[in-house]
Amino acid sequence: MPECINPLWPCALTGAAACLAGFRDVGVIIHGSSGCYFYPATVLHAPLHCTCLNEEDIIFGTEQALLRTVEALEGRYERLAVLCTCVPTITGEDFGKVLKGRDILVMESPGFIGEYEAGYKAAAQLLGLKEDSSSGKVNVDGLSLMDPFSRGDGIEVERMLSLAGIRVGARFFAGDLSISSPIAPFTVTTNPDLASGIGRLLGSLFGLPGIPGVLKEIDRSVGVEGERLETEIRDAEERISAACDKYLRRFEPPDVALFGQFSRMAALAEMLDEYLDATILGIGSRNPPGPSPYRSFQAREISSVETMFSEEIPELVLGSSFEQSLSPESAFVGVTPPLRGEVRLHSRPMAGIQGSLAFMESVLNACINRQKG
Amino acid sequence: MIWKHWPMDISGNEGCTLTGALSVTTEVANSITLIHGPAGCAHHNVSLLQAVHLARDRISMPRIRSTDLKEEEIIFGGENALEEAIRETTRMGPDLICVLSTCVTGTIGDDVGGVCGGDWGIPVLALENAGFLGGGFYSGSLQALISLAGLCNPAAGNGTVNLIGEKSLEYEVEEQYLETKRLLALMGVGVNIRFVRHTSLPEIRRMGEASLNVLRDPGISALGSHLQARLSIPYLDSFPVGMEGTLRFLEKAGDYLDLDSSRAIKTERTHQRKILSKFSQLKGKRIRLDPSLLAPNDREGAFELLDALDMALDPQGFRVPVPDPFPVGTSGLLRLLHRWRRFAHA
Amino acid sequence: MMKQIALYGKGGIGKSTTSANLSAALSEQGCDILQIGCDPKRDSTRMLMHGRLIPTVMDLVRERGDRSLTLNEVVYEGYHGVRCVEAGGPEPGVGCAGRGIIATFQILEKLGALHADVVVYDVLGDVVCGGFAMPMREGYAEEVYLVTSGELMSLYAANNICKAISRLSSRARSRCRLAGVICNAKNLPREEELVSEFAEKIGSTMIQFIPRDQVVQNAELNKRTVVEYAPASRQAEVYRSLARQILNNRRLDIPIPLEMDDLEALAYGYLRE
Repeated sequence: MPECINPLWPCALTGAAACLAGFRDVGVIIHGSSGCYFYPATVLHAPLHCTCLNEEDIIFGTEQALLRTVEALEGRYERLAVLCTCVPTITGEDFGKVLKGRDILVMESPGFIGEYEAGYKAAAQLLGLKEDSSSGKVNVDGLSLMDPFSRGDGIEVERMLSLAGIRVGARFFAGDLSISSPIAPFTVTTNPDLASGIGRLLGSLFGLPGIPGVLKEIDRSVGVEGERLETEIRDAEERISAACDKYLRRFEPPDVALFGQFSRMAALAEMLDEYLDATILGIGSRNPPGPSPYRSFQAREISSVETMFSEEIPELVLGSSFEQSLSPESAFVGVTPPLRGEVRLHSRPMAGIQGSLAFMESVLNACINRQKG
Repeated sequence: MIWKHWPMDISGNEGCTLTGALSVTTEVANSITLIHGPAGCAHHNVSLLQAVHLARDRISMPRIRSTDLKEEEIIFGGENALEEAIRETTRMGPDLICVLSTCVTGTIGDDVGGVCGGDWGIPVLALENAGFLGGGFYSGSLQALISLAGLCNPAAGNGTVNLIGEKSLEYEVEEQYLETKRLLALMGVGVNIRFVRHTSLPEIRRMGEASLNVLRDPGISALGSHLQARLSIPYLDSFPVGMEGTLRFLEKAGDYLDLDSSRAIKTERTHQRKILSKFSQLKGKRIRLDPSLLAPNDREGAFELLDALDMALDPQGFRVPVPDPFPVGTSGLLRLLHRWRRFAHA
Repeated sequence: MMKQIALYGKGGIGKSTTSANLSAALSEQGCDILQIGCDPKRDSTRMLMHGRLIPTVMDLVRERGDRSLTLNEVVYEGYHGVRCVEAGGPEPGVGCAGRGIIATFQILEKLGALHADVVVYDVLGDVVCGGFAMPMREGYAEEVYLVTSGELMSLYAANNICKAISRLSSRARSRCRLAGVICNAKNLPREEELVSEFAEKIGSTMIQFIPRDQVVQNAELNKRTVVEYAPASRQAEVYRSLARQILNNRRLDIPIPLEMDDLEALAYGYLRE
């Protein structure tokens, strides 16, 4: 289809900015017009910079505008990164000459090339971070400034790793990373769809059922003092089972539709299926979906969501504010940005043990509230 | 220019021209806005508009189509994609299609006006400056209003008033509207159309029937003059602001409409005095605000309140908010005084 | 009634020489002329301006940093009262020249500059991006003249412009049509016949054959159009004839562009014989 209605997911530029803004000492310059700057700055809550190109810059070349911005920022960051938006990519200027002698990353990240994940991954690979193979630490991957759960996920994974006697390496890309941070040779992720590709990936800590397997992987690589975590996992599973069982004594399990990044939604679907015996109507994936036992399709625009809702209104919808406003009758749990119109102050995780508990708790509360009418 | 601060005000000059244009075109009932460019441009704006709507308890999401240009269209031209998208969109039965071009289609030089000018059976407006580099929120919205004004024709005046250029992303937009409507009703004057806020195409076509245009603020005087030239409708350059300003508004509107405003002014003045008397605790308070940060109209409105309540400026005084834009009419002052009293308590 | 014409052709084919001489001849025939150079090379009007490179609209915008220009700053009077404008544009290799053309047209519109008995647009003919089709859009040139020699690459460029015209003319309100082909000869054998046959094959006609003549070089070295420098020359009469043809031309066609193979076969046929 050559056109779409209400695209639901940000473009590659926002993804690239999300990655690079995750460094405290990298100055990110959006090389484009102010409109391209405004949105990433709003959703990432990060200090970005912009060349604010106008029409004259486009006609005569954007080199001077870029140079001006670069000079104004020099000395304020360890490293500057220039993200080219659609227009300077189209006019195809070569910035090598104007930036000669400066150690500046330049990356084409036009929105027309693809979506958020594509820009994020390309930016992560551009960095060329070096791993320190002697370090016995483990990096945390999959964190992103756009994700409202990212802060909580970082804290939770760090807590779990330290409980297991493992020191945390770099956190990709949560805002506190330094371009010169030592990078550990191993990585665990909280979001497999945002894979930095840095360090050997030992597995995903998103979704309780998968966590024991990942701990075994970590144990094989760096060694784990796993007892306390194992106890905690068993305890969490028991608490979830008890709560779900209690729910099922009164109510039928919900029919659920999930909308978000594919791997995370697949993991959530698995938990709902396993713990609550829920019927998974389908996963509407923001990015291209991978293999899954559940019906999966790409939902990057509103009509694909509406088509699904027109077949059957789910009793429970997991997704963003967009899905929420399309299904006012369903129980709703926000798992995907943007999550508008609700106040969020505490660092709520969705990954790790606490994240799984928080998620199941939200689901049960939303379902119970809906049953109450 | 380098921006490093956030959050920023999307209704100021910082926003994208597209956002400005969309704040207008998405207010036309039964119309569809089509953004000719990559999907990212549309997502940015859908997301921002939804955030603003939700903050005002409006659950429905604005519907914005995108031609979803990829590299292929950018290399070979996006006009065919646009034509196809317009064709698809007409099948959905809208009264009007507004096509906004983006930086990308402006750069590759798609002839958006030419494509929109085809025989589509319904009006298809091309807003070609929208989204183009530079400019900002205001120029985008102004351009959209001027384009939409092209859809109506001159007519005989019927004594009513058009409200022009309400800021649809403003948090208190409905309150400002209701207050202006209330004040006009004091003279028995009705609102012909809101240009544009939940307004249908047939309504827009009737814009020429009003006898006076009231602009939201002097920033869109160019539009006021444009409409005066096109429709022979005179204009007041602002919604009522401040105590005296509100009375002056009634007087001027009366003059333009050939009505005796003296009774309405008397009623309103009494109403204002009654309100001030409720805030006697504020009398003599020393407050802190920086006049240099205020627009001239807002400054006048704020100082008037200071005088009326015998308050004085003092760098050590209570800090009070002076919102920009300044609240409209007497009801706006009432809400502001409540906020000031709360700060004085605090 | 105002007539707006555009001359399109491959770079280096002699469009600017033809345009400038055409404008000079039209002016001598009593018309008020506005010539607009739409090529970052900015030398379309140079002979009319006696060798002076006038400030371009884009240069002015760049120096000022805004668009508050006046008519006097962008329009220059040259030979015989012909008014000259140059769009200008970026240096090669940077920026976006097509957007420069679009911006120039917006500024000229705003200034109300686009009025004359005949407006002549001299456009870089290798239509590379949408901006270079600007003069063919609604409200601008309704008559497009292709300037070509008998060389294959020149015919190829002319054929490409036909594609643009035929695409545009499918639009309901578009009035842009092909008005004729001008052969600016390179002294190839049977060049006139070749270009004439090309013109007929694309559904148009060759309205003027301009032979190659040393006087063109001489005039240029003296920074004059031929019409001014050697008014009595045969070449000047050719340009005056072109001007009459264009003034009287009523033929407006939707061209049928040739397939590449057919175009090559056509050119090859003349080469062989």
